[in-house]
Amino acid sequence: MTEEFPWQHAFPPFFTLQPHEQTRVKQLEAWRSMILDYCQSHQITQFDVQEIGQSALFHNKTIQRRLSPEDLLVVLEDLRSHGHLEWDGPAKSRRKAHIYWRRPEEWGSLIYNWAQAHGMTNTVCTLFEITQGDDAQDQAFQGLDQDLLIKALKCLELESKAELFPDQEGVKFF
Amino acid sequence: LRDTEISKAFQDLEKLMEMAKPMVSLAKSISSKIRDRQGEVSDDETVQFKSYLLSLGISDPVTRDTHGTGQSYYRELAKEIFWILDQPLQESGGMMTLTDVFCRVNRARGLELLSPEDLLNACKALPEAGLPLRLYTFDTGVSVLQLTSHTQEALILKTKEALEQSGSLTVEELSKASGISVILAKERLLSAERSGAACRDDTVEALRFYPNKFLTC
Repeated sequence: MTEEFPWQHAFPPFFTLQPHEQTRVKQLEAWRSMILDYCQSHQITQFDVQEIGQSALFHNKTIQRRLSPEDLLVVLEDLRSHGHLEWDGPAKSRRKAHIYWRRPEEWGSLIYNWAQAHGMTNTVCTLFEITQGDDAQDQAFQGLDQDLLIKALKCLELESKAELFPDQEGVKFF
Repeated sequence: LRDTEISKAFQDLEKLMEMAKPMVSLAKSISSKIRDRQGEVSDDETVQFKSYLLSLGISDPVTRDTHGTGQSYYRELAKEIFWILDQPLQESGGMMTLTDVFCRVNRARGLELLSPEDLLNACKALPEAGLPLRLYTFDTGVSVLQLTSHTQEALILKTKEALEQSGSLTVEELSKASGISVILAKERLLSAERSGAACRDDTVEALRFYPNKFLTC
C-alpha cells in the first residue's frame, strides 16, 4: 500500500489543536481515521508513543509541522475514548499502547466466522493455527499479534462462542 | 515671601474644600429626597440636578442611574465624539480601540480634556443619542467603537475573504494589509476563529490563521 495521507496531513493547522470546539471535533475525527488507516496499512498493532511521534504520521517534513507530544496524547486519548486504543502497562505512564484498527470484538467475530466456514466448531485448534496455519491464509487476521488474538478470543468467550485453554495455547469454538 | 504665598495658596485650597463639603452633603440630601419622593420631581429637574453633580465631580452612580436616563452632558459629548471620529472611522474600516479614541478626542480638544470615565460614559450614551456608532467589547476585554454600518458579521466575512485571498495570515500581516492596528487585526482574526471561519497554525515561527478547511471540506 502506498503512503497516501489525507489532505489534512498537508494542511498546517492540522498540527495545532484547534480551540474552536466544532473545528476540534472535525480535526480529531480526521486524526482518528488517519491513524487507523496508517496502522492498518502498516500492520501496526502496538507502538511506543515516543517512537510513533517521530514517524511520518505525526511529522510532515514537507510542511515542517509536527504534532507536539502533549497534543499527541490528546489525539491518542481521543482514540481510546472511541475504543480503538488501550494503554499497555500502567495507564498513567501512557508510554506504550495497543491500537485496534479493528476492535477486539470485531477480530473475534471475523475469526469466529472463519472457524464456522471451515467447519471448525466443536473442535480444538491452536492459536498458532489461527494466525499462521494453512487454513488461515489470505485471512485478515493472518499474522495477528498474539496479545490481540487472545483479547479477541476472550471477547468470543464472553459470548460463549469459544473457550480458551488455561495455558492460552489453544481454543475450542462452539 | 514665597513661603507665605505657598501657605496662603494651601489655606485657600483648604477653604475651597470646606466650601465643597457642604455642597456634597447638600447634593446627597437632595438625591435622597428625590429617591423618597419619586414622581414629584420632574424629568427636567433631575437632568439639571445631574449637571450640578457633574460640575462638582461627585460620583453617585446609583442616584444618577435611577433618575432619568443618562446625562444630557454625556449625550452632548457623544455627539461631539461622533463628529470628531466619523471621518477617521470610515477611513480605518469602521473600528477603533477606545484608547485610540481617547487620544484622538483629547488631542483634538487641547483644553478641557476628558477623563477616561467621561469618555466611557459618553460612549455608553451613544445609542440614546441616536448616533450610528456603538461601543463593543471583545471577549478578550478590548473595547472598541464601531460604526453600526460595519457589523461584526460583515467584518468576519471580510476577514475570511482576506484569509482566502492570501492563503494564510499572521496578525501583523493582516494589520499591514488592511491598514488597521495590530490589536484590531488580532481581534478580527480571533473573532473569525470563534465563528468557525478561521483556524490556527501555532508554531515557534508565528501564529498563523488559515481559512477553516476542517468545516468546509
